[in-house]
Amino acid sequence: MTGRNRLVAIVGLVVLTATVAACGGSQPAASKTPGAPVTLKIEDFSPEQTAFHAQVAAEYHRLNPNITIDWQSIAQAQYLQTLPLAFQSQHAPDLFYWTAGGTNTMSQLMANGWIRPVSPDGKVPDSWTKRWPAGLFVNGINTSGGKVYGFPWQDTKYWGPGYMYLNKAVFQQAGLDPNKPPATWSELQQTCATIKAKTKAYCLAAPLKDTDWQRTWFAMAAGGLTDLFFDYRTGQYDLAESQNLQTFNYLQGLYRAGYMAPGVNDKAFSRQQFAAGQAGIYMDGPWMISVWDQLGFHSDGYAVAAHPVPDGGATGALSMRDNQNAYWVSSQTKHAAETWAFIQWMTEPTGFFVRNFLKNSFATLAFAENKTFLTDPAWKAVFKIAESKGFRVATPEPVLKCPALAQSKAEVDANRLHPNWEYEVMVSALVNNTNLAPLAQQVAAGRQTVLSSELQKESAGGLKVSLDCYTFSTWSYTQSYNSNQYPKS
Amino acid sequence: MTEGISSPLAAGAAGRRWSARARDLLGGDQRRFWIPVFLAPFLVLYGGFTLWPLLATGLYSIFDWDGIEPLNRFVGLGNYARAFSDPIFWLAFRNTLLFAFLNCVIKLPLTFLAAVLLTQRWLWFKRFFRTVLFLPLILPVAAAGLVFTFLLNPSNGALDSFLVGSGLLKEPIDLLGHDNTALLTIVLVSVWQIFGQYLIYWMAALQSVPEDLYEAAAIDGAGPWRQMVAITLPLIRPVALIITLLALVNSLHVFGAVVTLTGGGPGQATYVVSYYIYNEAFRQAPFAYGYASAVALLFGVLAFLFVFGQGLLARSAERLRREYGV
Amino acid sequence: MTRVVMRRELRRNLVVIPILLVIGCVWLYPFLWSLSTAFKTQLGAFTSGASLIPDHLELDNFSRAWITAGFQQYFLNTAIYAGASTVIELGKSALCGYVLARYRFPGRDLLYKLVVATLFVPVATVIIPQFQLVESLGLLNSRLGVILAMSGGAGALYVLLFTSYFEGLPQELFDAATVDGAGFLQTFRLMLPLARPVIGALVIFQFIYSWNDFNIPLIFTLGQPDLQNLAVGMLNFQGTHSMDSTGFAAGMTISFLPVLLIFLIFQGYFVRGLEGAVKG
Repeated sequence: MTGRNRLVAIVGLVVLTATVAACGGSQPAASKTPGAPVTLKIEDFSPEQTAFHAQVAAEYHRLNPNITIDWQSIAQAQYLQTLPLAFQSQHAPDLFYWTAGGTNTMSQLMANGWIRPVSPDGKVPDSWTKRWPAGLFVNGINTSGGKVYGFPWQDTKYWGPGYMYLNKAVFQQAGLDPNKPPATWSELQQTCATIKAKTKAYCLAAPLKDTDWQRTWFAMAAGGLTDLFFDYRTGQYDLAESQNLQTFNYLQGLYRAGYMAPGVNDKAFSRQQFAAGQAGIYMDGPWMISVWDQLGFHSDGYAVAAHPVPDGGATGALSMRDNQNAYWVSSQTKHAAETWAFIQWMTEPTGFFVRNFLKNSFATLAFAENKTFLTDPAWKAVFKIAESKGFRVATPEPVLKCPALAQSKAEVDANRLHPNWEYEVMVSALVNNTNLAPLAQQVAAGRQTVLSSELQKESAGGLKVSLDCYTFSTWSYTQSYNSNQYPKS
Repeated sequence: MTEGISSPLAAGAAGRRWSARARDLLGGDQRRFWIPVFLAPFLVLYGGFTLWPLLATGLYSIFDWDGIEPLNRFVGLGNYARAFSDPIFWLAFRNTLLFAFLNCVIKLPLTFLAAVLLTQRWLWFKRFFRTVLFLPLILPVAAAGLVFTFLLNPSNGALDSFLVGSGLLKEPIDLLGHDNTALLTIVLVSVWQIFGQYLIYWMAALQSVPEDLYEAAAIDGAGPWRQMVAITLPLIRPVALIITLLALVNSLHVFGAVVTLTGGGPGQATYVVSYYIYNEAFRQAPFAYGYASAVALLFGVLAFLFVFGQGLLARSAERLRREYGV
Repeated sequence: MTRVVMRRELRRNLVVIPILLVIGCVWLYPFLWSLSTAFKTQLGAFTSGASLIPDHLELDNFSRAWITAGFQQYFLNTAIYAGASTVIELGKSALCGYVLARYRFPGRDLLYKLVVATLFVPVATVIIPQFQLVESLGLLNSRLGVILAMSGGAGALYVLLFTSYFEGLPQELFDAATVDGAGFLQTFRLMLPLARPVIGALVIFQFIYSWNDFNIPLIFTLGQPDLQNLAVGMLNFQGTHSMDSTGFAAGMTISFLPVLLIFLIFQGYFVRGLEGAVKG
């Protein structure tokens, strides 16, 4: 066979194979009769839960032999890109995970036409909503027009940044007691000096790459003001506020003194550094418990404490936002009733799902009795810290003051201007040892300009929004802003 | 039929006589049929998967579009104006040009010399060394980046423990953590990773030079260096130009290495245009396809002008030089 | 070979080979390090620093990788996509490059310049129009759709390679082929083997690229995940809160073997090249 003929033959064979293979794609089952086999497609971006999902699918199939659960998890970046395409090509799953809009997630999803109420008629029994603490089903956030669209997934009291982990081995080597953690900034400085003098380990493993600086920053900034880049009391972006600059100067001091592990590392690196005993302190959220378990580093090797606060006492607190509605029923589902049945099964407070989910420590759930099932001593410490007064407070929700904000794009656009700007300027100032203030002004002013000008434009167009919606002058940073403080609509 | 082709030089004279005849025989007819047939597969796929998306990108660039809603927010040249007035875009642009320059200046000569060396008759174990140099290419860029963040780390990385341990340095050096070394480090890592590709390109180019030319030159007393300059370089010129062009274009689009090694940092020190687009448009939902398209097109045009502007400059400079006999 | 020549060759090798070995070791080190990570535990990978020796052999990484990356389901898909797209790319680039190099026809220069110009635009945003195109052809969630998308994207550079390569071949070869009254097709059949080096290069690169590409297989098979490939499966090592780096390294180790094989096979193309065709 000459070269050309061989080429033609190969091409022909391949095309033939491809055609045969392509024809092998099956059509999704769309049966409506009860009892007929139904496949429910669920999608999210938690690939580490894949084994757990298989368990769930097997158990649910056992209880409902005609229903098969097909749970797909891919990495987050790819998920954000492919889900819109799935909707566009009419291949959306039945149940999907989406938190990208914060408190405005539901409005955004409704604007996209992606979601439908959780139950076939939109009504839900009280027995179901009672699984959650009172006040979590709010019009404009997860209900609309009397119908329930979403349900809070993760709890936000325990789950969030702001915990300080102490490596027991390092502390003991430095002659410090890991059960008496540094509680103020000065104490942290002293602890670091001791660790540096007496051990070969670094004091603080603070990741700097990309947005990972937030792990340390949120914990420390919360003690001074808030862990958000927006100040809901003044209605301004707050990186340049004096309290935040003070916090940054303090951290810069730690960096200069060599108390932070060198290198622009990502969080995976810093975490491993901590687990390997090469760093004494790491700040992050309670997800670390399961992360470290996977690394073979268990709670007998570390202690959990609250983040240190300024020497004069805490003048701020971590934020607890009502933005954890995560799973939504897609508008393209052909099995609304079956999906609703699955949701009810999934959210049973002591059911199979909750038990095994919590056993893996994937997260704390808003509808579960977390303390019953999360029994690791580290979790006990986390619960105690989170319940202490002033640790985490509910921040004001602008959309509850001005419901018209659900149609506003101003905040989204302001946050989208150079998405990681705050982190970039902070890391740059840290690494180059420069003054943060001018850069912080630039960032805060930049975002503020976009926010206010867009709000003005929208209000000129008839939408009842203004910068006042974002200003809650009666709020003090250390206390929760309660629901009865919002204007009655 | 391959054996029927004898030495080009010998066939030259006879061939020229015959080719005129043959062209008459061939006539326009065969060509008029076959040329379109040969072009068709490429044109169809190119049209569908490159040209059409480019046109679509141009369309998106005049809208503010999140990829989901219908195209209803027309902004005209607003996206372009925004990119033009954004100092971070220009920072990314400068970094990208710098990266491309460093990358090509290091990669092209090194891979060329390696290709020359690894095709020398006298070298033993050629295949082994070729495979060794080629292996990093199999690693996906993300994986290579991951490996190097471990190796270059000042806390416990291999490089620093070697340098400090052997006494060459007093303190570990943070290559990826300083503005002035980060970009160069990314350049070196990407050269390492892509080395095999250009090695193969050059080897392919070198294969087109007939061996006997080298032998004839050697008999005339030309050393290996002279042979390379006088024979190799001129003969592989057309392919060499393409390889250079490809090298420039690929290095202008660097993305994976930046994401995994520095994430554009520290701060914004290693921001490149592809990363800028990714960050501004695809980092958070809702996406900004319109802006991304505008920046992509703007950068494409600027890069094109930059690369070919250089070429034009070089050519007119050479023309002037020849005119003035300098 | 004369004795003088032999001695010179030996001398040269004795100088060059050790240098190459040193360079080779340093060169290979990161690669070997990432391979050895596949055998380490997570923390072991971190603490072992420069050492290539695992703290203790953790073969669990491989079994975990096999499942997480979905080797069982995805291997066939990966091979099909890589093989088919390579063949298609080869066909279309060789045909087009040949015509662009040897024949003048109306629009030839314009086409060439267009191909060069379109190389410059970054491909960040082209996936959506490609998706729409494949969707409108009804080829979403099919292997054919993925193969088309993979073969459609990068073709411009291969065409340029073929064009410049064919252009660089001496006109006499081309004329000599037409001496015997060879038609268009036959001439092409004669000239094509001369481009073996470029063919070899294209096969190697397109194969590697398709093997490692996750974007296209992911996006074009949304409704049918079992049509995805290994590169997509490798994304599963990136969890919400942590990355399974040792599993990732193990997955990569398994998956790169076929690619290495392709390279070893096609490496020969660069040596056999023209030796039979052009002799002084």
